[in-house]
Amino acid sequence: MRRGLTQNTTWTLMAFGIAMVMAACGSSEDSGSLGGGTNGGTGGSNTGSGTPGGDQTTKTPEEQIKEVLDARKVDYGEAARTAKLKLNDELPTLEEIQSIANAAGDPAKKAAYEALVDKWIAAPKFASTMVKYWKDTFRTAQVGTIQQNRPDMDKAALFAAQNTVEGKAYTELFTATTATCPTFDPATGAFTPGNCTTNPTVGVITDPGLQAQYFSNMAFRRVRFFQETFACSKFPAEYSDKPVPMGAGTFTGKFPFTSIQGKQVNPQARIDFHDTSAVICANCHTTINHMASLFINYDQNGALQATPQVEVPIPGNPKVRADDFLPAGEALAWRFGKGITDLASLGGAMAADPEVASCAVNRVWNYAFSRGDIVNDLATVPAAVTAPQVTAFSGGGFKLKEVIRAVFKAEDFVKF
Amino acid sequence: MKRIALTLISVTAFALAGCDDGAKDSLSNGGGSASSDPNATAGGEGNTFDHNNDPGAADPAANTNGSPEPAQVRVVGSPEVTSRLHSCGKLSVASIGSILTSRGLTGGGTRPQGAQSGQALFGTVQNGVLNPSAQAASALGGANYNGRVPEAPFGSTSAMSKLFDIFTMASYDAVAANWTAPACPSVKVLGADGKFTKDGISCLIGKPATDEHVAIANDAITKNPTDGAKLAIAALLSAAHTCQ
Repeated sequence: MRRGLTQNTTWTLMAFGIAMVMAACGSSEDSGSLGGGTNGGTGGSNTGSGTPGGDQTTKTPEEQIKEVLDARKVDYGEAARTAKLKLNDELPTLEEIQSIANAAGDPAKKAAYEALVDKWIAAPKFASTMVKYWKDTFRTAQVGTIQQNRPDMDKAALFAAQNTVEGKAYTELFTATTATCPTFDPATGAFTPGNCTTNPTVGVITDPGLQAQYFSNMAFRRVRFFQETFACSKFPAEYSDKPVPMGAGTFTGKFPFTSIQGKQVNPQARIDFHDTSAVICANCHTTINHMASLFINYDQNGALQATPQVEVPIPGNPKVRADDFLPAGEALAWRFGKGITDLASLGGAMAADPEVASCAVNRVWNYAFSRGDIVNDLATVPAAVTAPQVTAFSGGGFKLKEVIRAVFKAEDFVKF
Repeated sequence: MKRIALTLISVTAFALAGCDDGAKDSLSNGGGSASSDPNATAGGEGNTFDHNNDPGAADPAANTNGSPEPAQVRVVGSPEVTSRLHSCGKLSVASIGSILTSRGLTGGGTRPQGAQSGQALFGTVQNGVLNPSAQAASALGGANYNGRVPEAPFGSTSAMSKLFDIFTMASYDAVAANWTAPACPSVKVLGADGKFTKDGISCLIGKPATDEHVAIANDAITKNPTDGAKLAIAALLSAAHTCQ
């Protein structure tokens, strides 16, 4: 065993050295260039001609951007490799590799590549890959067998994956009232519709698995989950164009400062969201508090109860009350000016929010380009980059499957 | 010398692993320790005081549409550029398993006594399906859904080391006389003349091989007739699959 380990180590070190040398090799479509100046797929590190040089001061930012992007080369072989890994979790077969390599000329290679993308999206394995995509996006999945009283943690991801694979409207993730708990057969890639035992049922919003996974004091973790997952940004979610200096910072929220609970409107408030001594609580909580109370009756197992189930983090850990969030008479809202009354109207507001639509497209874009999570990895996508896909998504029935197809066929995707 | 090199790599890896300040403002329950920064606003178990550390800052969306910070642009390029370039994502754990299976790297080669195959380093076959072991999945950056942690999008030192270990030992399988790859029927990595075939290399790396690939790989055989082929295969696999 010891000898085996030593062998492993020796081989690893030797292989690593050679790997560093051979990493410079491109595919056949890049022959003649052994690392010849293009950005070799290690995006994020701008080692191309965009690196500031002596003449940088004479170039506008737009010219510098164009210079870097123009330095890329089309490589359908490389694109096919990374596309199939992301669409099917597999490498292309030799036959698929050769269908591109043997195609005569770029138009034929492009046609061969795009035919492969269509084939891989139609394959049963695509369904499994989408299930994994949504499990990672939701950071929620069933591990092992379902414990007593616990929900099936897979259901939200399965519903979202079914929605994607079957080309349904993405907005159903926030509006569907039935069939939100499907089952899935990985062998065939087939989903079987099923209903959740929830009442009400509002897409993934009422999914017991998600509610259980993001159980926390005052239901704030649930609010953050829906914000960060479907709006692609952390709180604060909205900014006033007239920020107000106060306390240790500046209040930047759109809602009035006193629209949420705090000492300024209620000296007996259990949590003072008006506090400005360290950070301006209200910058985030003006938005958070206007919807958090919708989630307080879900218990730690994700089941909806008749009374609040989450606690207030103060001595004694009492259960939360609706007036811990908002003063009496203050209405609920998804955003300032976007009033809601219940979970169904929250889902409707999310479905109608252009930010939610662009978030879905940008997540697909980052997945295709291996850029990591748009929130946690700060992988923001400028609006101009995905504008064509967002427009097609919003105008074409919100079909995420078609966004995936378009992104993997995009001009940027096949360039390295 | 090798032991010294390995020791240095290990120490560096552990040092880097210890750099997490535990103050990530993330929904993930990543297991970071409590922050030592008294001004940090990240929460811990039992509370939700997990705040943005700079909530009064400018609208982050402004960065996506306006002029980016010059310093940021100098280091990583503008958002317009970086978002249009492929980054170096990690192979998913599932992809590694499928590569081993579809490329016939299933432990059929003759290895030094006591050495594990690449497949054995990855996991075990159950009901015809290669599943990762818990240890391998963890090392390779697999998800921890109970902890609200998705599969890591990028490779860590641990993940890269494990991946290269797997590919290194898998090289013994590809040079075996009875090697066959389900995804590449009727293809051999090494031809009858003992030299690399272009199709064989294409099969392993998952994209069209170049003449340079073949030449460099064959050069390894010339310089080391005993182990050159295995070295070249390990290097080809590691280089090709470092990024997704």
